Amino acid sequence: MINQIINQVSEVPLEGITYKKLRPGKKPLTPEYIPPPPELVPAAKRAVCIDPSRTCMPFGAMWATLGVHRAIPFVQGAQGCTTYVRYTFSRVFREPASIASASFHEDAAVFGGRKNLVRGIRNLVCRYKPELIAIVTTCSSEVIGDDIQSFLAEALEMMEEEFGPEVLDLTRFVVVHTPSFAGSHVEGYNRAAKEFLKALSRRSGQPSEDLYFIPGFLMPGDLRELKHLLELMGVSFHVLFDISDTLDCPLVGMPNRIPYYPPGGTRVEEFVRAGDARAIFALSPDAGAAGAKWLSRRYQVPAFVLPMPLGVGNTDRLLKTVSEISGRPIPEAVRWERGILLDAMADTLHYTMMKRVALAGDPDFVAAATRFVCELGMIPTYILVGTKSASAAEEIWKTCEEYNCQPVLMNGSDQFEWEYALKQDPPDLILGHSRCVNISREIRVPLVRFGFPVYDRIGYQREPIVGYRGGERFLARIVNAILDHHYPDDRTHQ
Amino acid sequence: MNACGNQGCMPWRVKPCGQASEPGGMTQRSCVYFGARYVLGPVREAVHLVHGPVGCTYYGAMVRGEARDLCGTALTEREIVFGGLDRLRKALREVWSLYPRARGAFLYATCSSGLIGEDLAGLARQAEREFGRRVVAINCPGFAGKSQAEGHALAYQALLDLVRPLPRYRYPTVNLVGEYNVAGEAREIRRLLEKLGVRVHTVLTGDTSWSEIETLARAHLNLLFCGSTARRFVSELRQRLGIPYLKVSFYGLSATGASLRRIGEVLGLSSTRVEALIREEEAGVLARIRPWLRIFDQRRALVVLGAGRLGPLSRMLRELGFEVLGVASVFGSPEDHREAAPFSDFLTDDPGDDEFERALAVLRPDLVITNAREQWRAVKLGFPTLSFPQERRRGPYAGYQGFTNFVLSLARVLSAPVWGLLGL
Repeated sequence: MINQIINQVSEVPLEGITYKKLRPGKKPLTPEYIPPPPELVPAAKRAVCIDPSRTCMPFGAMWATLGVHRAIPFVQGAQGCTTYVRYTFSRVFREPASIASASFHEDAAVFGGRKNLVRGIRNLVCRYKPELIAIVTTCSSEVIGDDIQSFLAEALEMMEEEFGPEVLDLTRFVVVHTPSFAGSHVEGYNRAAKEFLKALSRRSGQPSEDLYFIPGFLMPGDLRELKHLLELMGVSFHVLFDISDTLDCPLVGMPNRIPYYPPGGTRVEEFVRAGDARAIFALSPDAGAAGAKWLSRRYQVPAFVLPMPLGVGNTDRLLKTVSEISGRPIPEAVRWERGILLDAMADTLHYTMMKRVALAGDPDFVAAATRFVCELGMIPTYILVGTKSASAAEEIWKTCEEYNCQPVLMNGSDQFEWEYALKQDPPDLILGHSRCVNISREIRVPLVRFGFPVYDRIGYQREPIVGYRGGERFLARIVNAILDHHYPDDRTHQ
Repeated sequence: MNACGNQGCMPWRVKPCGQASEPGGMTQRSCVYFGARYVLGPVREAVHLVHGPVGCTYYGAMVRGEARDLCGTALTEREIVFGGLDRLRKALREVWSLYPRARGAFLYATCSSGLIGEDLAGLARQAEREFGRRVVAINCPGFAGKSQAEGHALAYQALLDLVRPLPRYRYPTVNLVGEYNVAGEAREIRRLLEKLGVRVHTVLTGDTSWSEIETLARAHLNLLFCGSTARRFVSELRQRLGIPYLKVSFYGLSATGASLRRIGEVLGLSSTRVEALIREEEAGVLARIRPWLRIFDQRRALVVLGAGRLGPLSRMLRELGFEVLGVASVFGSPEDHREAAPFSDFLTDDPGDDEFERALAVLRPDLVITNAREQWRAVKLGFPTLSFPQERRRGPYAGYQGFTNFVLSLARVLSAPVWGLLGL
């Protein structure tokens, strides 16, 4: 009897029993699952969009504005355009985000938003005393056809009458046109980058050695890592739209002055001096390149549009470019950090090599992450680029050619199509944002969170993924997800 | 610059409710579409289709912090110029095979579709004929009202049209109306009612489905929880179908007890059974919360919340020994203000961020209760803060178990050592 039972027990392999073996019937889905008709799976063939992986254009412009010191976005639209965005910021960053609304009601829809803008700007200036107001338009004001510039001129004139001419020196204004039907949040950031530089930057005629950076949707931790690398390089630099000390601030108690403003953010003077810059870098080709290109056309500042410095190759590329343009060699300390990342990659190659991985998110994140996972020896299978992007597609195909893999690229599609593909052909790992949780749970594949938005885990906004040290942290996140999932019993881990 | 914004030592300018927000005042109010999603978001067996640009679909999928099914037409510049009805018609054709279990569809308008003048109601009627399933258009462009309250009203109006007259159940049955099942509150209320032998037909809209709404008239009584969103709905039901309603609240011991007694009276339950339940539950709660009551005594609270919770929450705080320093609604109705008025001297509507901060600076409360968006502002300024709607893991706050959860949440917030570490 005993012998019989013992004989039935299958041999435990040396590496332990993997999760896959513990769960023999893998592909449970839900019993009542009815597959969609195949002709409706590709987003391009549908009129209906299910679970988009992109949000509206004003969001990107507001993100950029919140990276400027004492700046408030003024959203020329209905109140939901503000409230939904504030909610998103508070979920992702757990920080207050001051965003004002023009409070469009029915009268604005009929008569236009002139009164709302004129009164709103006045209220904002005298109640909050911001250094900069970015007027961010929405679908409604663009459909109505609000003439923002003339409204703004009128608002300033009325304030001058009421408070005297010195009121005009208090606040700078930038107008960003962001109708949501014309693009996603990525395009909104892109437009904001251009409009801010257009409205503020000047050339004094005394060229400086400063390098300017437009980061895109990098998180506070990423920005700090970027600054750390640039400090090691010994160059003088400015990060525009620097949210690191506005959306990740210490708790200090009641400030001396209210309304509360976070201490950090790019100063307006930094924008003003951008015309004298030695060079400007856009670290997200889809979010910020427009600003860099405009500066280069207007003031002949050399512009470099590089992939996000995520992983070895992309970070190498950034540092080499910085080194060339500034004439400074890459210091030993940076080589040391690079070596540590390479060491971590070599140490963990058995976990990462040949693992199949699906990716989803914003174009710049996904394009850079595709290169990084290829560097780790992983095989990208299904790649969802939330916002349609030619540059991301080009970068991804270039990477795939180099590393000889043929993923399915869903450019500008929605999560429905991507998730359907994942259900048919589950990968070993998913790299995506918090909205990929459902599919990760459903097909029981671990999710490594990165990009925008991550709101269901703590501290991701502070933990860098860019640069060599960030790459090492990101690699650890990836490997630990694989370990937790495929090797749930820590005792089998050698 | 003194012409504006200087209010002396008053925490905020006292504003009556029902006024439109001042542009640029940093209001916390949201739009009509938000309100419609707030109410309709959890309805199952329904296709939720947004006719608008992709942003509204993206944000609207998150209702009270929980992901809900939502699809949209993702309008582009082309449709804004040439009209989006063709795309919507195509989308309506597709959704039935993508959501095969849906009994009908809710069609949401947005600012864009409203401004270009799309006739959703006409299309909905057409689609109903074509597909044989109900399509309900909700005319909720974001600008169509002063706050989300108008959206709540539109959503309930849409639900009203689904209800069919039906014979009543044989056993005592109620509907919970205006109960949004935050963190499972409906479950706790259901538990208490079932102990009294009362069945719950459906929970509007926290835990409900298309078919449950259609058969809603089988219940004997509607229990109205949130008056500001659903009072018109239940009074219409009383008029049309003769279902009586009862305003109840399950926040706090006294309110829960009183509500259970009223329900017992109306449904003709044995009062000894009701009293026994109340006694038993209260004893359990009091034993569990007693150790914490000490830290609540004489503490001063500031409450800034949406609308319907103000009064019940203030009463709950008073019951626990708090002093309520100020109460502000975001989009309160006169009824909400009447409920909250006895508890606080400072009562206002729609405070801006600056007014909120000024109130914190002037009143220096020991506890701030506010919504999920504004909580981080109070935390950043160093005030112990409890946010509503609470996350799922904090558990329900309604009923007896909920009261225990509420007390524990308060105890966690107030006794967290972090507030004592502020100075260096």
